[in-house]
Amino acid sequence: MADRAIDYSYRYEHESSLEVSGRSASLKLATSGGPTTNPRLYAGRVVAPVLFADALLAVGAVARSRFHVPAAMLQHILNLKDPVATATNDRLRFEAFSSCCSAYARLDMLPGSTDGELLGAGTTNVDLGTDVRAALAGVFEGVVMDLHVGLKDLAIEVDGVPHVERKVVLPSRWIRGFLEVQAIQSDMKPRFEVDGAALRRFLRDLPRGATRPIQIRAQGRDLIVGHRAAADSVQVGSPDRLRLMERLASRATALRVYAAGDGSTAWCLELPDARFTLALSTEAWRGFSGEGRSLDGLAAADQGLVARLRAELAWQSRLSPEVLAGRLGVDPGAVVAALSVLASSGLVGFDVAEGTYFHRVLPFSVDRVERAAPRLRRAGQLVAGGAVRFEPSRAGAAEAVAWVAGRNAEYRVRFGPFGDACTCPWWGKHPGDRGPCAHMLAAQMVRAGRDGGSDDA
Amino acid sequence: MTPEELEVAVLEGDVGRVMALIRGASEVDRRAAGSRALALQKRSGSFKAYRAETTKLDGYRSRASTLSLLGTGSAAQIRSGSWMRSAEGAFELLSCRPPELLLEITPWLIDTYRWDRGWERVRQLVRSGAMPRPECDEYYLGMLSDRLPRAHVLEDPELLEHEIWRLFEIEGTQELSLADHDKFGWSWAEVFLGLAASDLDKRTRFLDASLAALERDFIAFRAGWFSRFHEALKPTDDERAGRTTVYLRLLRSPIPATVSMAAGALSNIQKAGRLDGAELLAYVTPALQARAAGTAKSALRLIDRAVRTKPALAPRASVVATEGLSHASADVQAAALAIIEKAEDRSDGALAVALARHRDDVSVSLRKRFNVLGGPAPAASPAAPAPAAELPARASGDPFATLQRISPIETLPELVEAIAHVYETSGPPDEIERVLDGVSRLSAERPPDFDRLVRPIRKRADQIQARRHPRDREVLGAYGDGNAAVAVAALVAAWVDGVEPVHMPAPRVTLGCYLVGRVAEIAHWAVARTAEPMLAAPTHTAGWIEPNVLVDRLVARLQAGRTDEKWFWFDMIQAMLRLLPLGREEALARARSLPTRSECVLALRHALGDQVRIGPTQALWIAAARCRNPDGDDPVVGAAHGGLGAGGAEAGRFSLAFVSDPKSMGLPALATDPRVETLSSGLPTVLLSVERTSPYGLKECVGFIDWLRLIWPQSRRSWFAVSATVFAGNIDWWQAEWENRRRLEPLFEPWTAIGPEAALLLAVALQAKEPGEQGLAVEAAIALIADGRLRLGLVSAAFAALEELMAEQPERHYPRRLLQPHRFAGAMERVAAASAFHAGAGQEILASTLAFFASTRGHAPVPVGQLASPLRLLIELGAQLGRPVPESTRPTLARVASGKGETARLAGQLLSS
Repeated sequence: MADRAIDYSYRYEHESSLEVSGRSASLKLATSGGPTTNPRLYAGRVVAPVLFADALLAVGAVARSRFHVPAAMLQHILNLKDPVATATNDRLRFEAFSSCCSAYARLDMLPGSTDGELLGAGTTNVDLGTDVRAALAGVFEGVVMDLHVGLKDLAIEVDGVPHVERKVVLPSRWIRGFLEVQAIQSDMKPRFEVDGAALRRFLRDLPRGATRPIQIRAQGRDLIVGHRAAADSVQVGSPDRLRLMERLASRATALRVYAAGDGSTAWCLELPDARFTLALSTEAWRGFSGEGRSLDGLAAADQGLVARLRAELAWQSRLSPEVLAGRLGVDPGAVVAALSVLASSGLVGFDVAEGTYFHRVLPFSVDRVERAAPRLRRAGQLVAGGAVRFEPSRAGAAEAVAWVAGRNAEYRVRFGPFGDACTCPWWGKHPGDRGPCAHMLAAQMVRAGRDGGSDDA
Repeated sequence: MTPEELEVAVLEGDVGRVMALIRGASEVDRRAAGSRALALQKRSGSFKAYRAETTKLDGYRSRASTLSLLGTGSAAQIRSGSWMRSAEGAFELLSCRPPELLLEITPWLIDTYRWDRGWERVRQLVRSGAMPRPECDEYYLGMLSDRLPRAHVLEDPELLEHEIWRLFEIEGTQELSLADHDKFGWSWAEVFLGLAASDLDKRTRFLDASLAALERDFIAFRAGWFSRFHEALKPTDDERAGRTTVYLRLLRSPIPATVSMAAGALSNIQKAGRLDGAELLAYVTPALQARAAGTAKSALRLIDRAVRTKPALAPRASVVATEGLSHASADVQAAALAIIEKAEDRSDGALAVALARHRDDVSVSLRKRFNVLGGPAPAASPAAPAPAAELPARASGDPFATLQRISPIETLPELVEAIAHVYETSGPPDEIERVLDGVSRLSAERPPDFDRLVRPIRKRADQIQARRHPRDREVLGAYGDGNAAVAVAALVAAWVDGVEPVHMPAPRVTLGCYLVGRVAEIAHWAVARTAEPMLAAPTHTAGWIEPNVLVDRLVARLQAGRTDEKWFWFDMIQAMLRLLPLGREEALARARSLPTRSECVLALRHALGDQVRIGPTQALWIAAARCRNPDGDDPVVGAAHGGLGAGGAEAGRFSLAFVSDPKSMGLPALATDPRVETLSSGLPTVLLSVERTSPYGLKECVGFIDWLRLIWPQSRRSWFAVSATVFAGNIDWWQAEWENRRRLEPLFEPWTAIGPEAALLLAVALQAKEPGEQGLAVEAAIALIADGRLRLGLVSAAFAALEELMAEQPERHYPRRLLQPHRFAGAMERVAAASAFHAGAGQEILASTLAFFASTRGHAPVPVGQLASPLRLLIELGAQLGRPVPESTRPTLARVASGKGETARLAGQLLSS
């Protein structure tokens, strides 16, 4: 099925710039989209300019990265996407998602990293073009740097067109990946924690040019690179992607590694008053969009609760499920499930280091994209077409069996105490490691007594 | 001009009229005809314009339709036209169109795949004033097309005034960049250098533009052109000094070549006395982390000279130099320490903090010097050398304790699920065996919903067969596919349809044919709906079968009246090759009570150690012999069925050799003694002794290689020997043979004996270029050293064999290099890091192999300079362990030390330690 895409225009009033004069520097980041056309979100001073410059360059590097070029994206590889900045009452966040949909980065400028004024909460695209990147690369020790996210009265229009306009194509796969990586992170568990020196040794020992998965495990205070899976190891596919951390390694004080069951990982670099998170999909060629780990939740989401929860969002840096559950009078588990749905709508992000969601609204319209994963869509079609039929359950049987009429044959779907299974080729290829197949989802929907309407999930 | 007039002209193929109409029309009239022209152009395929039977009129029509669209269409209409190639007169017509339209379609016009020399045509439009200069990247990158002649550039002065400068601002693409162009075509750099030589202003601009390009984060390959070009301009000291700040900024570049260039430039500026030391210290830190040790050392030299010029900078310089302590190279760390040591005032608190931060990074050989500066390591510091007792947990006494029992498939739904999985993954190996056994034991079941249940896997079987070569689809594994999914698909088709597959002998016998032979047997019984467990179904992981269970299965089979043994020979062969060495005596006692008229029973008794009369079925008795004494000869079977070569009645001996056969492509081949002369699909142990399992260079899939390991878990000698040959043939990763790494897995089996063949495989794999292959070999070495199963003498002997092989290598232009000291040292460094025990073993292995790396025999001895890495590691290990290299290494070290250069210095250092 052809993946739909949306045309999108970045309309900046000016190009981002870094003006250096002696030991003073002023970084003016141009904004596009979000609360207004070109919002002004922040003005202040950066406490550690070199660190900030390096971190921003690392975020920019992720936005410019493509570790794998799917054939369908060949037309779009030059249309690189800009990072997204979010300003809230206590921190600035910069997010980027690679063109290949396999790497996501977020820089959290924590309280203490900046000294300035929040001009307005919101999320916007920021221009991080060639010139400003070149200038950031030249920031040196001892410089004093001002930061502006959005500027006032700089609008320069030529024939009614903003000074800087760049049209890009945002493939549906890219947008869905950007959305789903949040929910995937919420599934991750902490695995390792090492100090900065161990991180540097780890990056040094990382095999150059290794394109096949490696296994990482802790040995003493170090992270060891291995090539055989073990119970205590974490697999990382396309490990060259980890080199995105190299720019920040010398300043990192600690590294925390998180992993989800499907092989996706998150790498949190603790920096002085800042944090850089790099989330990697299982493989470079396997973007976050196709993981399907949240499909069960999406299929079973309580839309009423989702709507009520949405009304509670007010640019919080931390969304506590317990607090929200208390306010809404529901179970915290239901709030977590609803937050996962909001994440898939671009309304919240997930901070894996703090283990909480945060409010932000992606500045591009995700409503125009078919958000429901193809499998969920297909499952809805199967249900609507009456393709699912459950066998009468036998007395005492712990297993439920359904027959789902697919395109080529009728597949047997089994829900059992020791796991589920389907006899379709897709499940045969990915038994359990990429979420349920369309037949299973359809059977789940029928089992739950639902009618399969899921496009707005 | 009306649209109708234009259409008539197009359909008549009147190109001249089309052009005249368009030229004479207003832009409004042209646009009015655009949609009609687009429709006509989209029909141009039906004009048969480019087919063999093209008529002249069709050709004219096609050209006329293209011209009509270019002359009348909007930008969107032109771009959406069907495929069009260059049409004579196209650009002449385009010059009539509005400039803004031309700008809009410029990238489309420049598309090199669409228009022959498109960029040149656009350039003509620009030069003629038909359109302004486009600002899109495609216009500038189009200059880098390999089709653009150099003369065209030189004859266009305006191009050299304006356009070329944009090439310093645009990174380019995979196909179009200055780096790519100059590598494969004529040199833009030469053109620019010529311009710079004749025009001082341009020279200045080139110097600035090349540095500015390096500040943009272009990828290393493309950035490399700019640093090379900048240096090719040979900047004077004055020119460099004027750009000091830019060079300083470039020290933060993530591209090693750029940092190296910047460090070199700053060195020149400093030597000219024009580099401000304080400014240097503000920028230099990132260069101390440069990947290349040489660059980091250059940066440290800059610091050193800055301090010598201005001693007041020493405290700050010391703090900055501490960053060099975390460099991977001990030489860089030593240079950083030297700077800190020189500082007279080391009381700065910042220095103490910085030193503490890098304590764990410092190499062991420098630890003493470091401790003088940073104080001794705290008692609990993990950086202190690990105690010798620290050793990874040794395996328990029972090597089979880790085996897990395999439960057979009990129900049809479970079988269908398992088959669906094997279809898609060709594995895992245990699952393949469970599926074969499942079909064998459940083939008689036909519940009411049978058809519905098996329909998905039956249909999928057809799809899998459809992927094969048409000549193979109707037969079972004629070519012995190295793919279990294909064999299982054929089995499913036979079982469900009740039709026995055609089993055609393969033109070349491989282990794939062996699998096919087994499947054919199971298919035979499945078609007959004779439900019985497979004799060869593993009872435990790795393919093992408990001897008693096999006896039970054989008893059941004989009691069922299955006397036609030729239909379970493959099954019996496979079962015997999988017998666990435990519990054989008890099983033999029970087997003795079975009827002796069965040749299978007799073969099993022989396999279990009994004295029996050898029967006529060669394959059965060879398997029995290989089971009875897996790594030794069986003279009794040999007397009846000898002459088959290694893996037959004789275990065989293996070695690598260069052969004169041109088909070997100069790669080392496996030599077996006795030589294997003939192959048969029923002799898997013989097949395992020959090089490749797939015929005609077909790739083996990973699942299939894993399954091959289940054939004969009792012995891995031939496996290791074949694998060593495979690795030696691809040690430099000439081919992406990802599946080969699976061949290292048996090194991790606790029951597998590590002999000369295993050591040879380990020796080759530790020097493999591909990080995964080498990494697995490192892990295997760590595990084997910890288990005490790797005798150091075996490793030394393996390297001796490789050295011998290299010495005998025929002279050739590109000799194969099976001795790679740099890679081996890298591998051993990781082995040594596992524990102090491993460090000791690593030192011994490295020392014992040094003589072979330093050998001067043969046509392609290892260059002496490559010995630096193992020598550096020996120095580090000596410092860590507090013991010098063994006495036996000293003659080699003395010989190396008598030479010149860094290697000789390192050898001398080792001798004096």
